[in-house]
Amino acid sequence: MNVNELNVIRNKMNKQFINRQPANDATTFFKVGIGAAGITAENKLLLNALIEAVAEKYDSNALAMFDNELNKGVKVVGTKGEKYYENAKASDAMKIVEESL
Amino acid sequence: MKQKIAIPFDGTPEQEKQLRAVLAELKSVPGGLMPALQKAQGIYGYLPKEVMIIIAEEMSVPLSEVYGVATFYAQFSLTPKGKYQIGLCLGTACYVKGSGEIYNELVKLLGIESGGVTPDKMFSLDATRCLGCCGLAPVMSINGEVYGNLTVKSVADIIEKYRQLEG
Amino acid sequence: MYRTHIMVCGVAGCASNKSFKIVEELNKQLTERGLNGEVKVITTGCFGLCAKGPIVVIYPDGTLYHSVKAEDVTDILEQHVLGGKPVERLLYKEQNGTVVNSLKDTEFMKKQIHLALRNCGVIDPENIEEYIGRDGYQALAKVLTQMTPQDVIDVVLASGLRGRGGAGFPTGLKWKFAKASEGPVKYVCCNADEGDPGAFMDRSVLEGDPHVVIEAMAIAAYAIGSNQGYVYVRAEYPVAVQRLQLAIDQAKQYGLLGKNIFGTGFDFDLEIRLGAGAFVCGEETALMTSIEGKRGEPRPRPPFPAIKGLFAKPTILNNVETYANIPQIILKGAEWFSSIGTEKSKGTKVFALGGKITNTGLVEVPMGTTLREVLFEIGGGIPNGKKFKAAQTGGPSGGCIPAQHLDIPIDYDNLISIGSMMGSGGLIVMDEDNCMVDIAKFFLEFTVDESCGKCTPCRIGNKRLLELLTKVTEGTATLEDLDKMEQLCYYIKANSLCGLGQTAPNPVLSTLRYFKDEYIAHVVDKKCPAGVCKKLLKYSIDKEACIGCGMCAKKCPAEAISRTDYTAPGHKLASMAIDNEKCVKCGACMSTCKFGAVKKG
Repeated sequence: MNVNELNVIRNKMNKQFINRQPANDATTFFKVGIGAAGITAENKLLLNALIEAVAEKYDSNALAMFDNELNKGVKVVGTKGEKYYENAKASDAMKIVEESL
Repeated sequence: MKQKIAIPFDGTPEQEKQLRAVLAELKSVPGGLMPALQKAQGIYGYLPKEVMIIIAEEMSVPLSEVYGVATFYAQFSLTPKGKYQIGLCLGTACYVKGSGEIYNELVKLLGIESGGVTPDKMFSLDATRCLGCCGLAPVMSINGEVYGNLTVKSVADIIEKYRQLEG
Repeated sequence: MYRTHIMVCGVAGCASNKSFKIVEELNKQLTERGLNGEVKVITTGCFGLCAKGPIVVIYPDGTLYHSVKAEDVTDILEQHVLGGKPVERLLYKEQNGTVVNSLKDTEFMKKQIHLALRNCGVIDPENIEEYIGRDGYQALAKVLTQMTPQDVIDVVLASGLRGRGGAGFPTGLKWKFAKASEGPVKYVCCNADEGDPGAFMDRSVLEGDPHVVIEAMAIAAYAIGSNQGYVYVRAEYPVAVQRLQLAIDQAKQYGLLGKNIFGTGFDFDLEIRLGAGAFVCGEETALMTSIEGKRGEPRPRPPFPAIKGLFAKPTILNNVETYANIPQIILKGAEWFSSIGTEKSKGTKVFALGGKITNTGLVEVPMGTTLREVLFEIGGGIPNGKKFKAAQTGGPSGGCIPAQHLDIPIDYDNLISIGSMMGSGGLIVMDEDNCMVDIAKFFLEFTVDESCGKCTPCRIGNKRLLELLTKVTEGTATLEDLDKMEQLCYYIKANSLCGLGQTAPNPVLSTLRYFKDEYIAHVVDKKCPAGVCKKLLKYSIDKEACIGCGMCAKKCPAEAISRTDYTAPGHKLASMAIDNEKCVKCGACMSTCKFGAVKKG
């Protein structure tokens, strides 16, 4: 194994770790509101899209999760302050992540 | 205090074959006597004199040295163990939480002390060093299975459960 | 990409509490519910909250569930994973009843910093790629491709890292001496013998993050000029041995161990050697003698192992926790590490909290944290409303710390100044129901049993010391005996060959220092104030409370109970009484009496 191959494995695993770090390491949170409808196929797609987008941008300080105290949409809480996207859809995920990281 | 039982050596030819294969590999390993004794005990359950003689021959070490090493370490046993090997932890955390009382109860229930084996060879008892499960103190292990948060009553129930297994 | 990770602790106490059944049930139901692509279950290392195990943590929220059973899996999946609402009854509650959702917000975790335990509870220890994902083997790569051996030693020296096995010798200095010794054959050893009763820090690192030890040993080998390492693991840790062996095999498979690592021409191989139940083999020269296949007897120093150690070659031996800090020191630098801790004790220390404390388990705190913070904030205080009496650090080599020193900042030198020592990290708490003389005797019995027998001061001195201590607990000692004991302690300390003998008297000395009144009570009043020393206990029957049922007499194995002439007002039968001459202090009468009439004291 050479150092490049080591780094390839590291980068691959980091994407898998996106939603597995202790929350006190994270500085940006993407919260998908499920307070009204609960977990549905639609907001599952939205969450997955956010996770993929975060992984693309590879910021290990970000987390994407469900929030049952938020009724709908996506709330971003992080280093750039707070922002609310009321009618966010899965296709908006990359835009939301880019604006916040 | 070790209990003295004269148990005749009942090693099989298969066991001897296994032993000799292990020794052939360990012969040239620096410091190989320790792993040799550990593996031999894994094969026979304890270290009979007959086995130590074979080890001395194969490893080219005087029998007195083999005996010296075997008797130095608590884990090596020159007497057979019971079918169910009970290890009661007397480490600090367990002791502070009352494992001394549990030990007395076990001595009462089994009629043997630490290092001994019941005449029917069902149970052997050893007061062990810390097992590293201090969050569950007091703790005992039976054939590797760990029982925690012991009380005098729960330990009696556990022994009874094993007795029932034997019918 | 998984949206949820369910971490289940699979080591030490939780494993013994069958946490693997939770994992099995989770995997079964995830398959049945078709959730395998979304939710991942990971069997991970120790979170530290052993008293409340089995522990399950759900990410990304970080929700902490305690005392989980396989039967809880359905609720966890339906309510939490699918429904988005945590399962209330499994949530952790502080002592005042506050519910805390997330591990990081608990009183237990707030003041901790996980450096040595960084990966425990975060990764699957059986998967090398997860270790690599957390910057694993990056430090080794940096060392082999960008640093010289001298650079490595300079960084470790500058970091201020001191040995975590107990003595606190500067790690960089040890490596420096070994580097300066003549090769070509040198050895790197890891002390995973963790013999101190009550200590399980090293076990948790080996079972939760075995690769950190492998990587650190390779770095050490490069620094001193060695190509062969040995990890000496105590036999009482079969799971740790198995995990470590698996990690070594995986590292070899990935070319991170063996020949020509990272193509730099550096070779390093690692082997496990098992202990066989001898506490003394935690001592560095005894450990090496044991690896050599002999009786684990220590050797005189000089020559020190860095000059002449294993197989008479220059050798370094470091503790598991010491190694666990190395990769991060390399990656983040000496300044970062030395910014944590106190002036002379840098970094953090892992403690295994045990005994009379609410949150038994593993904690890692920066040096300088006070004992009060560790015991009463992180540790949750003494259970059952009892009063704190003392905390023992350093195991059988250490001393007890009484209430008057609770505000001492924990570091190597402070602990020595009050008559104890850092030790490997076992921190046992005692309350008002523990007798300090009995505790000293407990430790001394241990060291007498474990003494290798080679040198007279330890072999004979400690035995005589134990006899004197036993006299105290049996009420037959005199005040002169106490003076004799103290003198003997100093003699043994000054003349024993190795650390075992030199420190065996410490528990006696420190209990004499802080709890002299208990010793005096045993010697002069022939009483054990805590009510522990059997021979000093007196059982008696309160003749007013006794209804005369006679059950105690039936149970008494010494036939020491008989009926008196006295019948208490309102009772039909005459009261019973105990003949203290015949009484063997077994306590059967007390546990039999349903009327609370039997008293102990």
